[in-house]
Amino acid sequence: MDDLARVQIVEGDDGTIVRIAGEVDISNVDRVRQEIESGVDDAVGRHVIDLSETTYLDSSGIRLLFSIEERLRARGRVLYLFVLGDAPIRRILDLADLTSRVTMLASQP
Amino acid sequence: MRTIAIRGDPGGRWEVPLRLLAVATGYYLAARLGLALAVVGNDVTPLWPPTGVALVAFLAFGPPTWPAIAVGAFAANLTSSPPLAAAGIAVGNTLAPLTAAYLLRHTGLRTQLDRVRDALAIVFVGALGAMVISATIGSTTLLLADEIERRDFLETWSVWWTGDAMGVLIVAPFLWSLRSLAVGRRSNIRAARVIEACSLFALLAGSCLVAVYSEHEMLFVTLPLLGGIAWRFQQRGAAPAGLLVSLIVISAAARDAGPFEGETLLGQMVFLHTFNAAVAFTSFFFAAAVTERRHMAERQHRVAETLQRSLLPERLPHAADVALATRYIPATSEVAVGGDWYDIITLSENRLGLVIGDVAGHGIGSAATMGHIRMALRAYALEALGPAQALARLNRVIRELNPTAMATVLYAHLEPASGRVRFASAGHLPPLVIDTRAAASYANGGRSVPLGVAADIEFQEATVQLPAGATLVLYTDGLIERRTESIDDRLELLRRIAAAGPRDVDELCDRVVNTLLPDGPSDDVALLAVQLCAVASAPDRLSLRAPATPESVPATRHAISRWLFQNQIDSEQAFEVLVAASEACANAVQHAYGIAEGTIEIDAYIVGDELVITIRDRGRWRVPDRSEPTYGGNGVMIMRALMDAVDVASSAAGTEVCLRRRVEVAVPHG
Repeated sequence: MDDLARVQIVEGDDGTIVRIAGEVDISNVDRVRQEIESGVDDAVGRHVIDLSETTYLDSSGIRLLFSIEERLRARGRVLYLFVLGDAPIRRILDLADLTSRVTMLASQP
Repeated sequence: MRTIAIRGDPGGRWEVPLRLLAVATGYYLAARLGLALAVVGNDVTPLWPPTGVALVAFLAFGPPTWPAIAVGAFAANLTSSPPLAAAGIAVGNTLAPLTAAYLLRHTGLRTQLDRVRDALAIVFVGALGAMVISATIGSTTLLLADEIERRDFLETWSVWWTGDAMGVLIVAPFLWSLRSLAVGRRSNIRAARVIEACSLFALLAGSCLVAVYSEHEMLFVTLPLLGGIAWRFQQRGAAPAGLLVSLIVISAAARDAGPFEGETLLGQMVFLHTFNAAVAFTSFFFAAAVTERRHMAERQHRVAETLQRSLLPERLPHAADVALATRYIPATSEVAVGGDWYDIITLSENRLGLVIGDVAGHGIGSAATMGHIRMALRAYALEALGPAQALARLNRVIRELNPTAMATVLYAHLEPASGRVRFASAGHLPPLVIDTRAAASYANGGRSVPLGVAADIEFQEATVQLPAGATLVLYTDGLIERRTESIDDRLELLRRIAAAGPRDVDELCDRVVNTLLPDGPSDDVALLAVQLCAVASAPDRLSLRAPATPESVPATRHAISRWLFQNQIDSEQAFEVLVAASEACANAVQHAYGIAEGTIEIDAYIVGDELVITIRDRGRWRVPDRSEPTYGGNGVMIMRALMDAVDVASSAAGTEVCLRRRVEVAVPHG
């Protein structure tokens, strides 16, 4: 994985938590997608993407989150997102309407 | 060491002969001194100093020194015996110290005599054991040479034996102590110690002289003084003191003074030997025992301190855009090594993890616990956990490690490029922020209880925006806590010193430590200072050229971010400008060129309160108009939402995106 972003997948009893730390942009979005899909595809239970350590997310990253949400929805699953209230990227998620389409968690998983 | 240096000296052709000559002369002079102390005539001397000289020479220069000893002994004995007898005696005088040196070397003797086993070795092996040889050979020679009668043999033998043994016990330690004095002179000797030593020796000499010339049996008064000198100065004081007392007492015996008056020769000898033995034993064992105990305490302190230091980071990571300084200062008292630590972890290209912590308690156990939790926190930090989350995991580790352990920790994420600090504090003292205008304030918030006090702790987080050039100081309570002053007063003192202090982080650390702890810390102290790049004059224009490839987008963004930060644009607005500009760059990269290589150009400037940034490429791309759906994360939609104006001009020469936004200059923290 490049230095820009780090993806950590934690599989627990009640589902999978994907933590994305660092910056996601056009340069690394494909790598981030591969890492996430390898962990999310065959997982069962709740799916959470934790963005509390994500310091930058551009429109390609937003599109990635939308596409994951769609894939899960097609299989009858739900995607949960966690992002800190005062995080700068929260503004971008709001602008793209992602926060109303995805279930937002109130506390860190 | 010294012997190796001499042997290895290629130019020292005269070294060996000169040394042999010096040893032989020393032996002869010591023998003359011994004969001067003879109790009766030239025959019976209660102390034979040359044996001590010979032992020291053999231990220092090895067995090849024997010719010097043999010649010296032969010359010395010629004054009282015929040549043949003198030669026989010289054989014994050489063999005895040679054997003593050989045996002592095999017992692993340290000539500092700083262990009880060294004292035992020199008394029983070096003195009483080996000197049987010289006594036997010497007495037998005198008997064969008809110098003594057969009935006098046993008495002669015993006087010889004890005289040689006393030479070893009194003279050799004195010579070794001279060397340690020479070593000590090079290091700092405080005047108070010199005065104390002189007073004690004067008192010892005075009381000894009074005792030996008094009509009453008073010599025992010297023993507590000898003990005191041994206790205060160990072997380097005890050995000269022993020699001094012995010389005074022996010379008194030679004059039949004081307690020796009217005694028979045998009585005098018995008295002298028992007294000298008591002197030697008192000083040896007392000095060795004190030294041994002191070494043990020093060793314990050293082990704990070495452990502590080895658990701290050996080198600071190289971090761009920041200057780092750290200090660890162990407590000045001998036992109080604690569990304070600091750590700096490179989390990513533009993020540092900063840690300061303090495990409650002192000693090796606390230092070891510190080592464990420092590594655990490092592991969680590298797993990209946020500060509060990492502390929650660490709490589980510490409770599992030791249910009684408690620690305060502050863990912070610092982004040097933006000055953003996000931190969580488990009961730790608040970080101090000093800006470039010499204003300092504490960043309160993000606090919860110390690690280890409960199983489930809700860890809080707080964020601080550091202005460009600001310094963040993290510290442990050893810096702050003083029994006589309130913590609030001390925190205020630290704040004022730091605000007025030098800008250089290393100098700042020194100033803070020296001013707050002028006498050194009573508890250990860890200190960590990190300073963002200072910007003397921020460039008001930014001009960048970058290849139009996805890989260059992050670096371009970081450069824009740094420029915005240096111009002290409000951090929220700066982020929005950054996102919009990055989206424009991404668009240029994606759409402007096909397979061919191209370049994108970025220019930015601030006019009044408006920031203008243009992104130019040499390709042509279409801007979707506002009626198109924005669903799905459209870059242009994001640009439009974040900027006051987005103008796109497309021509055959390329496409130019111009972004405009009103901005505010951030109010520096504090």
